[in-house]
Amino acid sequence: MLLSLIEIFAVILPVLLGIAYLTLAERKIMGSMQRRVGPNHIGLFGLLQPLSDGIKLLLKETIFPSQSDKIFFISAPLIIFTVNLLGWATIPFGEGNSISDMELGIIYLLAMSSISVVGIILAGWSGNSKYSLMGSLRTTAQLISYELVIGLTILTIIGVVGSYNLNEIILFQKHSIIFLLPLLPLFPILFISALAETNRVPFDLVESESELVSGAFTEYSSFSFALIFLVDKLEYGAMISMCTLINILFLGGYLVPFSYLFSDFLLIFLEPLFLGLKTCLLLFIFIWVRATLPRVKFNQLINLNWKCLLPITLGLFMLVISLLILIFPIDNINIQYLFLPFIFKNFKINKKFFNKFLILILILGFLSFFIYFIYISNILTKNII
Amino acid sequence: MNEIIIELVLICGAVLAAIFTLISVNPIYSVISLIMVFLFSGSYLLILSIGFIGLAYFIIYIGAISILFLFAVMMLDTKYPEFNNILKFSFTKYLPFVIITLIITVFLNYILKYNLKQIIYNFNNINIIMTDSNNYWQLFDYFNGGLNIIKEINYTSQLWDTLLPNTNQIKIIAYSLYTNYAFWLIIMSLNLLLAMIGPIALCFNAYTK
Repeated sequence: MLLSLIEIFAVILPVLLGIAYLTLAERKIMGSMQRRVGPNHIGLFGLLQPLSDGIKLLLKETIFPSQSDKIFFISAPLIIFTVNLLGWATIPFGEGNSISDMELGIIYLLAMSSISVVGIILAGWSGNSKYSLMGSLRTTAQLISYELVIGLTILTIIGVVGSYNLNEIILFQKHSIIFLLPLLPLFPILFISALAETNRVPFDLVESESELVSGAFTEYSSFSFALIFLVDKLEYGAMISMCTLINILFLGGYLVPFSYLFSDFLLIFLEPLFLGLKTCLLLFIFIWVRATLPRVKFNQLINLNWKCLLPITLGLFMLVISLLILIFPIDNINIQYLFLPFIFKNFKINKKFFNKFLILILILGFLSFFIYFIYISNILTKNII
Repeated sequence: MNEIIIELVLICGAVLAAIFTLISVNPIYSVISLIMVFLFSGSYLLILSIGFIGLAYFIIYIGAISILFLFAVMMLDTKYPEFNNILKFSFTKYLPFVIITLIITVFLNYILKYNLKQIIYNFNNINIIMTDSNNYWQLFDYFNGGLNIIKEINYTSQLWDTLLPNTNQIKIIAYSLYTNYAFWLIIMSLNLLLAMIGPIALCFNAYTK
């Protein structure tokens, strides 16, 4: 009991610290990209800035709007906070090094992210403000539509790996190759939909400061705002968990390149380090995007999802699964049970040659599809945006 | 003992939340208590070690359906007094039906008296039975066989996630859905398509001015 509590705190505290310092990192990086200094007064190089921000938030007065729904107004940030942190239970920090290595880990992650939407809706509705209601309506529309794309990309990878376990997805990549290379067209799609799922610029319509003051969380102040700020406002917590998920799915999670050079004892320390490094790389790209791109309109956001990303992802899903069925069953299953009972019964083929040929076709098909994807997305983005 | 207490809490919570969905006048409250019903029943399924269906409850019922309900209900003006009267009236109107159906279901459960644990045990261990008769369940394992991954993971945890261990359920559901019941699946999807197209066709007025 005590041990598991220590385990949980050993995950949650670094996550919260990471979120706090991500805010600082964002301000610093954006400052350097816009030719200014960024926060540098408090502590060495401004390193204590997030701490002072947190203290400032906690010392402020807690305000409840008089017409608000008190129960939901208080419980909504708590729901968001706990549910977002619950998602960290499955994430592996090293080989066999996670709080719970459950077999349905990735479905669990999806379930937690879908529950957290309830908290956002409640936060928007209970404040009894037009701004927050509009913000929460926008959030739900955005999250529901982009969750489809994320689910489909995850399903493609599950189809390749054949397991819902995050650890097994990583081990598959260890034994073959990281999924960034063979499933290259899926990576930018997942990245774009992660941007939308975490409500980042250029898809930050939820809290576009010029239209809605602060989106669904306009009415919040003090401690409840701090809770939301930690996990969901400006989406720092969601950003880190999303980047970790992309990392696990496409960059191989905790895998260390050239791991045979290091001893097993060293790898125990190197694996979490590499997980963090790869996640930091993705987070840097998130911030980079924020410093570069302007905000899109809401119809463009929805169009991009339903007319551009979703069809491409659906097509890629079908393509990958059918290629897998084409290639792999030849050694392993009795395909005559499924289809073509007469043709395949006495069907023999030079397997080595056939496999090489199929891999060649696979690579060529993906290359052509990638070129086609760029072409199509160019056309579509010219039309839509 | 601990498990029994958790089960009791979940069952009572689910029933209470279901009652609140009916009683509460404010539609937002009733949708929220509906979400609580799904949450409680989903976690009860998790505890019964039907992991996949429990998580599917969270994803489908909470993540999609209830949120769409909330989405629609949130835009209603709930402070409009006549609206509340209508809701109260409908509640009292259908109360006898609700009580009768509740009694019938409880009574049926009592009569049938099936051993739930045994059924779940069979559900989780069905591949043992199936491997004896044929190889069909292996059809869904062929992606695994592709590169022959050896499991090198030390399972550390001894907590509740040990109840989410196997993916056999998914295989079994897929097996029955896509072989024996494929026809009914297609019929169901056509039904849903009709339910989507029907309202659009009803509301569609191309030439109104």
